[in-house]
This record gives sequence, structure tokens and C-alpha cells, in this order.
Amino acid sequence: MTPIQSLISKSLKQRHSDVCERLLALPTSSDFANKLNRHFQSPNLSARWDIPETWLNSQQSCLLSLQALALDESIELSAGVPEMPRDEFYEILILAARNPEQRFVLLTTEYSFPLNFLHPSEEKIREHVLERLMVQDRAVIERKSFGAVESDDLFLRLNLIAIQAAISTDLRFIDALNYYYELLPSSWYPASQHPWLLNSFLALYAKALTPAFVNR
Amino acid sequence: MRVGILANSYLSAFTIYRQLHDLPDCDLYIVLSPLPHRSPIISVLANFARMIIGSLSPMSWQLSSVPFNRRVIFLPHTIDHPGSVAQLKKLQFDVGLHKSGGIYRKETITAFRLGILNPHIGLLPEYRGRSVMEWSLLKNDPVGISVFFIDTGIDTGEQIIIKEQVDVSHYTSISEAKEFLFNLDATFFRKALKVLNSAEPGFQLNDGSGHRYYVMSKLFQGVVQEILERRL
Repeated sequence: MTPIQSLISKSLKQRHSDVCERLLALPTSSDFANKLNRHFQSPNLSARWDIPETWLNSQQSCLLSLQALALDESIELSAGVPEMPRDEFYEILILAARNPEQRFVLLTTEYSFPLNFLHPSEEKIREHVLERLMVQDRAVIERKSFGAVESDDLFLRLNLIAIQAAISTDLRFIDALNYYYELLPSSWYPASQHPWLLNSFLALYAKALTPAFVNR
Repeated sequence: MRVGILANSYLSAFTIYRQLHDLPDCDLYIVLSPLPHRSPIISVLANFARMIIGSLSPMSWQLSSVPFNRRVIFLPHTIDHPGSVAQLKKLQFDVGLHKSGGIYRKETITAFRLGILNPHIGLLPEYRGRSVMEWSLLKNDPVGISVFFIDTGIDTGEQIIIKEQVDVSHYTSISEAKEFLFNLDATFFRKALKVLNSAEPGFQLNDGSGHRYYVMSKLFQGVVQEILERRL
């Protein structure tokens, strides 16, 4: 490991313990949040993900699949195809940029198995999701507050970016998570339909920071 | 070549003017426009005041006469306003030098025969976007400046006129290193204008092969700070 890589690794490891502490301090008002807290008392640090070679469909919804990933639980999968051609999905996603509710539906429909987000065919979509988070959404949150953005839509996308950050050597993705973690007020919790997406975001972020992933 | 320095503040434009005014074959102007959220009247008055005060400070007569020999143009609207674009077209500039905030619209860019030059503090095509000096250091890549003709995208303009590595290893803080790079804008504008005025001006292609970078987290900024302090 080079000296710079060593510094990066050290900083991410320090962040990992902060993130776990913050996750465990979050409200556990839902079954999932309760389960996640118990899981993170002794998380499975050896769990790894692989980039899917083919498109896979989950037998459960995207949101339940995200919960399963955060809990290191298995997901029942079958071979499948994307809902639509990738260029078409990309264009529709861009058009939905100002409609967070529509974007939420688009992403949860497309990624019933969230690890499909890692598929090579999704590169343009990953870049678009990253850009929206780090430019437009970031500007709104910094100018106003987290309350000014639709939190389910925001945290769904942060969950997806965390999945990418966990397997990618491209530091831009983990740093987007670093940035949002620093932006997040310590006592804030979403008042939305799926507030647990914040819990799963922190869990997946912690996963991306674990040594098994960091020493990639 | 008619060149317009595009700025919101007279003082920032004048720092460029002062370093370029002696370029041969270069007819240099300062074009001032108000910031988008600022009253145009206040902007004009503030710049006028700075201009008059600047002309009183001890310097060569040529430079102190800048405000008075029609080298300063005030645009009453923001740079992208149709009125401003019409005025820029009438002025028939060959090149604009970017020294203001914001992103230009296509109509503004095409008001300049060749375009508007931007001295980006990252080596293109790899490093587009924000915090590019920091990202270069974090990835142990060379730091440098690329002067290219702007398009409507973020550091995607296809024609790179010059790009050079710049050594920042003698700085031990991010802010000092960045300030050093930003203060090289006039030096790099000068080099770029010389290339454009040369017998065979060429450019390197900004082929979009790099990445767009974003504002860096405090965590990674801390790493970059340590890289500078330890001269890694």
C-alpha cells in the first residue's frame, strides 16, 4: 500500500466507527431498524458483493431487497431483463429529475435487485445519480436544509450509491457518502413514508467502509 | 486580436489586464457585468468607484488611464441577458477571458469569434468539475492548469489550447496551493493568447474520457492536507 493509500484507508476506518455509532443511535421505530441495530452489534464483516454478470430479478421489492442487503440476508433471485432499454431508462430518469416521487418509483421498479445498479450497463445511470446528488440536491440542502428535499427519493439514491461505493475503486462514490454523512444533522430523522432508508443508507455506507471493502 | 476580460469586479479584471496589456497583437478590454442576484445599478456604481480609486494609485500612466480610454465596458445586465449578448456581438471580440462567476449560455459564447477561454485548475480531460486540485493530489496525479474554450457543459469544451503541470509541493495547505493556482490565470491566459496568435495555432482534444469530480468531503480534504504537509 502506498503512503497515500494508507492515509485514505486510515481515514475511512476512522469514519467507519463513527458511522456505526451513529447508526446505532438512530430511532428504531420499525422492525427493520430494530433488526438492523441488533445485526450491527456484531455485523458480518466478511460479507461481499459481486457485480452481477447478468440482470437479475428479486422475488421481493427493491425496498425489501435493500433491507436484506443491509442485514446481510440472502435474496431469492431469478434471471431477468431490465424493464426497458438502458438509454430509454436514462432519458426517462433525466426527465424525472424534478419529480422525486416519479423518480423513486422508476428506481424501485428498475432495481428490484439493487445490485443490478452495479451492472456495466448502468454506468451512465450511476454517473447521473451521482451528479444529481452532488450538484443539484447538495446545493438545495446546503442552501436550505434536508427538509427541503424529498427524503425517500434522496436516501434511496444514497443507498444505491453506497452499493456502488462498496465494490468500486472509484473514490468519488465513497466520497459522496462521506460528504452527505458530514452534511446530515446528527439529530435529524426523516418524516417520510420510508424513514428507515436513512438507517439502511448508514448500514450500507458502513459496509462500504469495512476493511474487506476498503482494502480493494 | 480583440480580447475581452469578462468579470463582475473591476479589480479582479484589472489584475488580468495589468499582466496582459503589453501583449503584441492583442487589443484588450475589460467587460463588467453584474452578478445575477445583485442590483445592476449597485454593481455599476461599485465598479465605477473601484475604477476611479484604482486610477489614482501610483502606477504607470498607461495603466491608470485604462478607465478613461474606453477600455472598460459596463454591461447593464447579466452577461447572458439578450441585451448583453447583443452588445457583445457589436463589440466583435475574438476571444473572451473568463474571470466571472457562473456558466455561460451558448448565445454568450458564440458572441465571441473564437470563444471564451477558461483557466481550469485541473488537467483535462481527466479532471473535470470541482475540487480537481484536491482530487489530483489524492490520486497521486499531477496537478496543473488547462486553458480551454468553454462550451455549455462543465469543463467539456473540446479545444484545449494549453495544459501544463504545476508544482504545488512547496505549499502545505490546500487553500494556499489553490490560491497559487488561481493566481496563475493571467500567466496562462498569456500563454494561450500567444498560441492563438501564432502562425499555426492548434489545440488538444478534450475528448470526455475523464471523470467529473465533485466537492470533496472534509474527510478526504483532511487526507489531502496531510499529503501536502508531509509532501507525499
